[in-house]
Amino acid sequence: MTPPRTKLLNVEKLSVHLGKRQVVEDLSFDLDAGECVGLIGPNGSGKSTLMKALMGLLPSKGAARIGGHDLFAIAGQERARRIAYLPQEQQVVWPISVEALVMLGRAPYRSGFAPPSPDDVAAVEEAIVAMDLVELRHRSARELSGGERARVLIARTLAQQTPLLFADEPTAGLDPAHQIALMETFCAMANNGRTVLACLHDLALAAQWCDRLLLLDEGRILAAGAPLDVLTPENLSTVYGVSAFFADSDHGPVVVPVRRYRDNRV
Amino acid sequence: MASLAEQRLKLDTKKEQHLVRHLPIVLSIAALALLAVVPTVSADKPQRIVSLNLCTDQLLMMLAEPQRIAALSYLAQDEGSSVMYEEARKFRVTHAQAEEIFVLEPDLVLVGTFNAASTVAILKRLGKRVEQFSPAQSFADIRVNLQRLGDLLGEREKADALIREFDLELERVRREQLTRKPRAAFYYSNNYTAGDATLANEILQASGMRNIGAELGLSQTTKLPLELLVMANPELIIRDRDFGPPARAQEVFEHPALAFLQGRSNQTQVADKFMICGAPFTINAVKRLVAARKQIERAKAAQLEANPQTDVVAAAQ
Amino acid sequence: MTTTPSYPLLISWLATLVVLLFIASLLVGPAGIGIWTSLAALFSGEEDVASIVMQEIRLPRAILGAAIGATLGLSGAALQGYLRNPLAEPGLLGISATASLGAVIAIYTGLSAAFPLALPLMALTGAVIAVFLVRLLAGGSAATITLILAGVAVTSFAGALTSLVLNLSPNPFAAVEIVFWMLGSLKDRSMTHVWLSVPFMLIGWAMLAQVGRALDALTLGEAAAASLGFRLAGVQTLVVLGTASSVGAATAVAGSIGFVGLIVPHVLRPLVGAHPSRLLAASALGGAAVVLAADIAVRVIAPERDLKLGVLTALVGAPFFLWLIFQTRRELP
Repeated sequence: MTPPRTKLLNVEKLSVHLGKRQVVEDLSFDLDAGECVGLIGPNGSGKSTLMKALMGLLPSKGAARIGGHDLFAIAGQERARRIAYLPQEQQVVWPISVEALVMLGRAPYRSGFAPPSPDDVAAVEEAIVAMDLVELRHRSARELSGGERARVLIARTLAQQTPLLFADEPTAGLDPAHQIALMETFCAMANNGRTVLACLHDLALAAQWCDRLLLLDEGRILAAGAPLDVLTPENLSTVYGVSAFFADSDHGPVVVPVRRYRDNRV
Repeated sequence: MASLAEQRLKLDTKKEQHLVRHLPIVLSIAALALLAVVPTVSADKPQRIVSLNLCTDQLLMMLAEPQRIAALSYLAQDEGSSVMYEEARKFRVTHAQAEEIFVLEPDLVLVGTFNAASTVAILKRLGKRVEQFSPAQSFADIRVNLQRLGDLLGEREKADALIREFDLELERVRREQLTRKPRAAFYYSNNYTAGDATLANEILQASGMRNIGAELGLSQTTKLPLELLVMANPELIIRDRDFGPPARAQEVFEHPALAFLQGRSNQTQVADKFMICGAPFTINAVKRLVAARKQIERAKAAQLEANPQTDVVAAAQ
Repeated sequence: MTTTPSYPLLISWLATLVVLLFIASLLVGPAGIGIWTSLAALFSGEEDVASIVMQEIRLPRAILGAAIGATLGLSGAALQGYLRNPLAEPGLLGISATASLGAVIAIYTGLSAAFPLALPLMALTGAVIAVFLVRLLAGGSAATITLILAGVAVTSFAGALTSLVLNLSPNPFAAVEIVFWMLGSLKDRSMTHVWLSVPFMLIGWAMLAQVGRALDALTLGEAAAASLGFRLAGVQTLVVLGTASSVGAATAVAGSIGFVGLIVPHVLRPLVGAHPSRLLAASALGGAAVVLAADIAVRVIAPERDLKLGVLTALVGAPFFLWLIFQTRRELP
């Protein structure tokens, strides 16, 4: 029996327009503390847009509350202490050290020209250890492999010590081992009481690792709940236009898309 | 001549026939030979003279009768550059373009060393007579240029008379007693000064002053850094004229260091149109500088009276 | 491995270098005053020729050399951090060229003679227009090629208009003065120029100093930086106005001096561990050192001629720029 969870994020009737298109329409959902939720849906369904809108990077209509406070009324730095955002572009422009990059996650807690506080240093240290970056800490962040860089960028969000993490396609471009490692990290974070909302394209990963799934289609939530409740053959064919192979394993449900529908025929 | 030719023809019939047949050609050749000789005979007194250079413009106006002047350069009418700008208004002007000059059909073209070489080359190629005059760098040059132009125009006596007048005035200025020669400097746009071997230098010396530019070892019109001007501490600074709207070239005259020197010395603008072109009117530049020099001497005398203890210092200067 | 010298150590070293070059700049000049006499004359209350030379000719020149160099280095580092592009600098982006245009219009129409503040203000306006134009032409996170082309376009147009204004001036000297505006010089600058320009430079520096942490965060891209709580619109305003104010004022009194904002941040970046925030102060000091050194060099190499500062910075900077392009060719889009 899982202990009762506290509500962390409550989104009510969120709508986002991009140009003339309504990308997200009247979307409502909740996130509890300590869960790893997969945000899935086809390309253009509004997953990234939803995250950016909640981060205040795009204008939106509707309400959102985090920990009881109105999310859209909080100033940037305050919001940054509650939600960390891992964008899709894994960009590192300058060859700063891994340690310095992780320290960037402490920006919401620092101001002016003051040097890092002991709390900052401790948070960074914790993040580096958690993401197994101890040996890489002095390396230039631009010289790392894809998997290493992904770990460093996650470490940055860890150092931010927020109760909630939004990750936009974090597994893109990673090999299977690193993809699994990443999902393991998210689970570990969830077990430690944090909430992770991750956009995922890989349905197998989503099914295996997420506590819950939110299925988005054309800006609306089509289904929400346990992976097997969401990834039904009907939903898969309606939303994705694919048929899947289902199985059970020691590690959780296995859902693998195998064929696509063309003119209603597989 | 025709009758002579005919008489000779009667002596020898063979030759007769030969010559009769070739008579038109012989006559034509003879006529052409005459025409070729005529221009060189009347070249002593050119009648259609075009001048392309400010300095030759003014010398020309002094020496030639107006009807012999076909055109002057446009600068001759510019009040800022030309001393004789009012007289120049009577004449046509050109912008030293080959076409405008050529249609005037000049028999003599006067140019300076700064006229476009290409224009000069075209005029020569088209068979025009071009005489080049270098700008005067000294009083001797003024005399030489005047005499040469006088020879070219056939007005040598007029030229000599002008030179005599100039020399007389110069002598008058020189004969004045000088107790002390004040130190002066020319300071033009873009930090230029007139050093040794310039007309300005000779004018300054004739007025009884010392040229700091020359004393610093500078020759011709060349740059003098502001620092060196300040260190030299001139008693008089002579500027070039006002060029109207501002440019960076004149920014140095707003410099506080120059204001400091001005506070201590005098500054005068000798309209440099009297100094650019070496001509009899150059004596006016000398006279103006003499006036400036006298003003310095009066100011110094007044200062000595007000501060008798600085006698020793002042006398030592 | 990124091992860098301690940041405070680096800053003190650079600051010492600037002080030494400042003193050296005060001692160089055609007047040939001895070292101790010069220094004494500098502080002398008497009005004799040596103190006038030191206080009215050499001192403003040294102050402007340091201030303008700091401006160029600082704005180069800020632009590179903000545009996330190592090839950004005020010269290449056309900011110096438009500032020159503003200054030229102020001077040659006689406006600044009537109203002295018009000079830095119009240069500042020109600079603001350039920053906005380049941003407009090149778009948000601009690819390098687009950015450079936008800069070339703005520089060319500003240069053409500057030539036009100069050629239309009735003053016969104006037409050839384009050389000063395009290459820059500190010759015969006075304390008047210092009072006109340094306040604007200080304001610009104050604005640019505030964007350091935001530039650090921008290492992760705009979205991540915004998510960390930085107001990017505010950062843009500070960068635009700070650059325009300082570079505008600098160009108004010394013309356009190129490549300093490109070279100095690039050379110092490895020494500050590539932190954009640390690079700001370091580049300011480095830029001051470079321009002071160049100004000393022009007076030593060609004392009689007015060798323009921009000639030296271009002689070093242009080949460096080419090398930089080769180096980053593979990485930049």
